[in-house]
Amino acid sequence: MPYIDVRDVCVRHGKNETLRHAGFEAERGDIVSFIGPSGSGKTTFLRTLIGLQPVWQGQMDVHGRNVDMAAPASARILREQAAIVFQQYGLFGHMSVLRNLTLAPTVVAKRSRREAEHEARALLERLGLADKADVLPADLSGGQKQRVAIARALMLRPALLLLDEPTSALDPHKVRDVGVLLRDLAQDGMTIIQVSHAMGVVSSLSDRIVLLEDGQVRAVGTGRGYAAQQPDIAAFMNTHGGDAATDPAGSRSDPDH
Amino acid sequence: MIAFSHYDITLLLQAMARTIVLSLGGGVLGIVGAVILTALRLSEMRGMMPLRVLAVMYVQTIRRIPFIVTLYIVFFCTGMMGVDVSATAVAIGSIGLIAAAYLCEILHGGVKTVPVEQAEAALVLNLPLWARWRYVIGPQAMSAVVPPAVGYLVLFIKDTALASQIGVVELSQAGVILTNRGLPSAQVFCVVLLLYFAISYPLTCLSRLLEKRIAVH
Amino acid sequence: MTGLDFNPVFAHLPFLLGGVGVTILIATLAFAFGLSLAVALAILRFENQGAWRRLSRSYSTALTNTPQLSQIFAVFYCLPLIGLMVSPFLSVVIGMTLNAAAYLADILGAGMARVPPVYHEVALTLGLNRRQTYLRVILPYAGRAMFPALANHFQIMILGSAMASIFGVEDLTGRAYDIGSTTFRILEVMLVTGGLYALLSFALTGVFALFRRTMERMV
Repeated sequence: MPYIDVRDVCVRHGKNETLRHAGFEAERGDIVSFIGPSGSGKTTFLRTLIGLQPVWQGQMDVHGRNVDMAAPASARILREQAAIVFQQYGLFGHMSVLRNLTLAPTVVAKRSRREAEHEARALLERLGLADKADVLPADLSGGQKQRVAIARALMLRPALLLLDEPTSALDPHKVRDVGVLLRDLAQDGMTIIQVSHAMGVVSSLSDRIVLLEDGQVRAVGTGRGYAAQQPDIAAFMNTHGGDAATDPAGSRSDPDH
Repeated sequence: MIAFSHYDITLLLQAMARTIVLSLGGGVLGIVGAVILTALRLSEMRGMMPLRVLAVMYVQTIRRIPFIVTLYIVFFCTGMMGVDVSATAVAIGSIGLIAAAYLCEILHGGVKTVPVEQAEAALVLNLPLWARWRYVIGPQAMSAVVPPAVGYLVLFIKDTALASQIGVVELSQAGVILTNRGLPSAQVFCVVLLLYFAISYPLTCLSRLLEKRIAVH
Repeated sequence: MTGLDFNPVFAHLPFLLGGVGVTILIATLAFAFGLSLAVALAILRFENQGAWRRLSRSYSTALTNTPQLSQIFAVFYCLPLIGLMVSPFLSVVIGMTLNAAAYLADILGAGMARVPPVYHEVALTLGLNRRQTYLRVILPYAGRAMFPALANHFQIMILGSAMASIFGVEDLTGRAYDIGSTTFRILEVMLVTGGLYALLSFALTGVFALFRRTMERMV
């Protein structure tokens, strides 16, 4: 039984089906990448996994625990097991970096502030941001903001870490750093699911690649280093490969949003 | 509504007209004053320095004094100097004094939004002073001036209610008179508030419309 | 003018200065109550689409387009009609509260519209409930974004509280009028009073600037 098994996810807008029976599997510590043309439903799919996008139907098993994604109470459960890093990070501008990290642990999980701050500082140090704990997000560079957003997500101790276009807002030379960080986290057992346009990163990083087209899973490639060799995926990457790292397609006007 | 006699309605309408006169008069006076004050603040002639400082001090200070206090000061000042003017004139003058300060801030701020290069470009075209203002700076500053200026006019209208304190029978005072005459106070104040609203709301809408129209450009 | 004599005014200066406290008290009470009401009004229009939103908007439109003085008069004369006998002081505070709520709701509403949309989703995915989201994220952000406008409105309320004197409240203006009518030096006392208001206002400007700077540093 796979660590994560998502099946049969359908999203409807009126008569329009933006996601049709989509699903995927992943093992613990896998990096899964959703790719596909604009409007293919990949961001929608990602958002269903954390209850931001209501679904018509869908099942999700995480570590043997079943969640009926269409059930009204599912959003809370989904958010307990997953955390997301948004494309524009969404760091709270009126709070310090440290408070961004400790807000949910103290307010939602009711952990003591001291303990949460201790953990947050350790996490920041691991991400090379030890000296940024007390600054405001506005004073960070794009790459630093992203690492803070990742740290904030990790503070929730999620089983799944979701990332929406993690490389789209970064300078090309920072893209590699994110890749290294994600690989690092995966090695520690974090299961990562990302939507990405950066084909270079996708093919080098992913244990699984899920190609979506028109709301359906068109192809799945598996195996680190091999996933991109699946014929349909290779074909898609060839036509979209030009934007490998710089990723001009990952614009904010992506209709998936 | 049945409670109002013909005489009561006449009183209310006259009072409403008085309120409008106070607003318009004060507004016009304020615009004139604001233009003079702004001209002083923007003047670069050396000898004007003391006047410039005075203008800034005036604008900064008078906006920090309650209108009713300004009104008393003007009222008792004219009284003490033996100037024989009506309470209405005193009220219009006081509104003008305050309006000039507020409008000067708006005008000055609006002029500052016009890039310096614009004024310099006009200067190197050898345009005379009046032409620089008429054709280059003025039109460009307008967009930042007119909507807030109309917005402030709405505020002046509401300030006119305080003129009742020096004996001007304007709208709010008419309400008090009618209430004291024994008319049902709830109805009286409903009508008074509605009449104020009828004057003020169209201007609020106009201010918003201008703002939107300018935002489009 | 030769006739100005400030000595009688200075003899009553402690009494006059005491009025500054009353003025600050009225403005602060009305601001605090008004702000609480404004939070409710702003959330009402932020959360809802239909009738509730229109109701909240109409409240602001109605009260910002009519004079505060008439509103206080309405409170003063109409509360007894429903059996509530309240002091002039309370009438003024109630009237100013209702008025302030209308303006402050507009300010907070504008601030809440400035909160980046993604914050709402972030709050959801962090597990914050609605109350926590407003309390920890939306209101603090909106409050900071609109701090200058809020501080400015407090200044306007300090000036507006001078209306309390009309209802017999012994605020700064009320005490000035008292001194004026006993000493017959009303012009002098009003000049001093105007100066006191200006000083108070300049001081508040300084306090707010300081407050803002510490707020920005204290994250």
